[in-house]
Amino acid sequence: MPPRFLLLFGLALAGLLLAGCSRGPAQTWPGVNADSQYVYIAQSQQVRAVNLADGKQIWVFPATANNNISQIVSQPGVGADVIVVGSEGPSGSYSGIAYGLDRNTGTQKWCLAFDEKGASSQNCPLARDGVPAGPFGIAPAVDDRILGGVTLTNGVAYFGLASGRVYAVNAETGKDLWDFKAERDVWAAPLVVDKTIYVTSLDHNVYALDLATGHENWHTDMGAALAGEASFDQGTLFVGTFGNRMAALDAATGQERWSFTTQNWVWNGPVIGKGVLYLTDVTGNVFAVDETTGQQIWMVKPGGEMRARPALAGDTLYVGDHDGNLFALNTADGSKRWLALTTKGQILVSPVVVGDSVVFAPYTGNNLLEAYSSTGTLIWPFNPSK
Amino acid sequence: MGDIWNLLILNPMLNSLLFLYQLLFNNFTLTILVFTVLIRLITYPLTYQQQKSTRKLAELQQSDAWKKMQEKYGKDKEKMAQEQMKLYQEAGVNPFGSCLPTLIQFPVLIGLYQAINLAMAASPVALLDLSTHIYNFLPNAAHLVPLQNNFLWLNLGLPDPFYLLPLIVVVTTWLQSRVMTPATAGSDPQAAQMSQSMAITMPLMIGWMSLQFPSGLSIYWVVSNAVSVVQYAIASPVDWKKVLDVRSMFGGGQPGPASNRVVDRSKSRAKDKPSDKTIDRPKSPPKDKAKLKG
Repeated sequence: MPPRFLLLFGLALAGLLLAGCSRGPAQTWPGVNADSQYVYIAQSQQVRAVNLADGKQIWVFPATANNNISQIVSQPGVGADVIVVGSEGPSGSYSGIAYGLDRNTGTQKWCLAFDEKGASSQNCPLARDGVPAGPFGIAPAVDDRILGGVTLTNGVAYFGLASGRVYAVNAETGKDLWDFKAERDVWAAPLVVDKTIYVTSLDHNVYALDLATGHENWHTDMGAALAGEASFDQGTLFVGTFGNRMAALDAATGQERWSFTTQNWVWNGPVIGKGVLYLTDVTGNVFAVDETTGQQIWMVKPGGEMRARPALAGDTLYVGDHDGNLFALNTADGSKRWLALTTKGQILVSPVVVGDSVVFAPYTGNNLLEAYSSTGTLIWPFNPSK
Repeated sequence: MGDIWNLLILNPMLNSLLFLYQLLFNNFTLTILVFTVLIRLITYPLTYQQQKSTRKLAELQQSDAWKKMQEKYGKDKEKMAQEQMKLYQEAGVNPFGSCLPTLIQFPVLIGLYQAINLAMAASPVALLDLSTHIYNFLPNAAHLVPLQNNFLWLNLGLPDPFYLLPLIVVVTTWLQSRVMTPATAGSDPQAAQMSQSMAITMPLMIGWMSLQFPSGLSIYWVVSNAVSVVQYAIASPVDWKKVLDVRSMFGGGQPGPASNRVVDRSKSRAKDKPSDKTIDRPKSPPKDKAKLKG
């Protein structure tokens, strides 16, 4: 082959390489939630219910991976009889769809689309203020993926879209009750407290909305993006921001009470126990902070980088890092109680504590779920292909 | 390896991109445009070297000596290869001279592409990834995220729903390949066929990929192609009539990309001082030859 064609083939190869470097339908880590009986995991185009007692799969939706539904990655909202999950919509479409599933069987009860493309592909009704087709029937460039989690309380599911729209949907019927529009992506499950719903957005704002109507009570500009869930305790709202800080806001007015500076982005709100906030920053630091004053109590860096909110069980704090390590820390001083290494993968999702066990989902790992006892003994791994 | 790549290529590019984004009024489209042009200007000496080598190679392959050699040893591949090497040496041409600068540019261009892709961070995983690449000392960095992603009818993180941008990608990639495809046809019909085939399939392939790309990356492709075309056109005049002659791509009697370039030999001799004393130059331009053949 003449050398000049090496050049042309090189260019073609580079094109393919670059295509590989770009991201197709965007991905995120698994969504995990649990009740007293099952743990639910949404990942890789499917959502599964797994028995907490033995790690056996109860059901899977859809039965086979489905490009029309595409990625289901949002944290499921769990109700008494129904669970609600969101998807990215037909592969590459960015047309998110919400599904209501029977809690015991995984059978689809309803679906709701947020733009015309998703509605027509899945034969789902179009949500209120859903995006209609544009000129010549072409869908406009709107990102309607549901990437964050679903909060389900009193029969209503609340969730946000990457377009910034927030919906309240009847969890039994799929009827949309109200919607609200933030300026940018909503990637976290909203927080419901009494008659208010708190929404964080990449547009740098935290919004307080009326639970019944979706009307805005207040919003506060935090000066940097908010990608994770907020936390609440005793009239105070806690939000982590990409401005390297955790802020405490008056939940009634949105006024900032204090701010705690970290070394890097704080993705999530803290977990709270006995007047102490436990939080992580992306560098991998774990902080214990006084809830009232915002003063640091202790700080440790047990492993690699961290995104997930810690989980609290009594006086043990569970944190996972990007290297796949799960640490059990003493809440008194942050010292390690035990360390469980995952076989592979990253712990980007908050561990779920149910009774005496802690369950977590290693992202890109060998197992979809792993359950450990409070002493660090592996109870069961779950891998659907085994 | 990944760490070295990030340290030397990706992180500097990404942070420069973010810094430029602040300077350019938080307009990411403008940032892509300016940054791509800057990188292309920085790597221009390599591009120029590549063009120079390609031109010398093209001239050699259009020479009578080359054709005679092909006619004489056409059936003896081994002997022909030896003779080719001899002619390369006599003309002072390095057959890989056009590849090397391009290979050196690849990491830079791939890094640029990755930096743009990373900066758009259209998913939680991508945004988390971005957080590990931003320098702590970059002023105001946390407040820039996420970047503004709206431009005209486009969401830069999503593909163009009207397919206009992929179409422009196809056209500019085709134009770029027409302008920069090295001269081949006159000397080697098989090579010419291959060249023509590449000139059609590559733009289509890139265009198809851009249907799936976030439109921010498609904008990068378009700008990058446009800058390449301009750079090539500045380095040596281009016969635009022939470049834009679509018929020649489909064997319409024209010699294809080989004659797209107007080779000003007096200039190239003066500049490059090729040691081509032993090479017989074609006495008439390739176009005339093609007509005679036809």
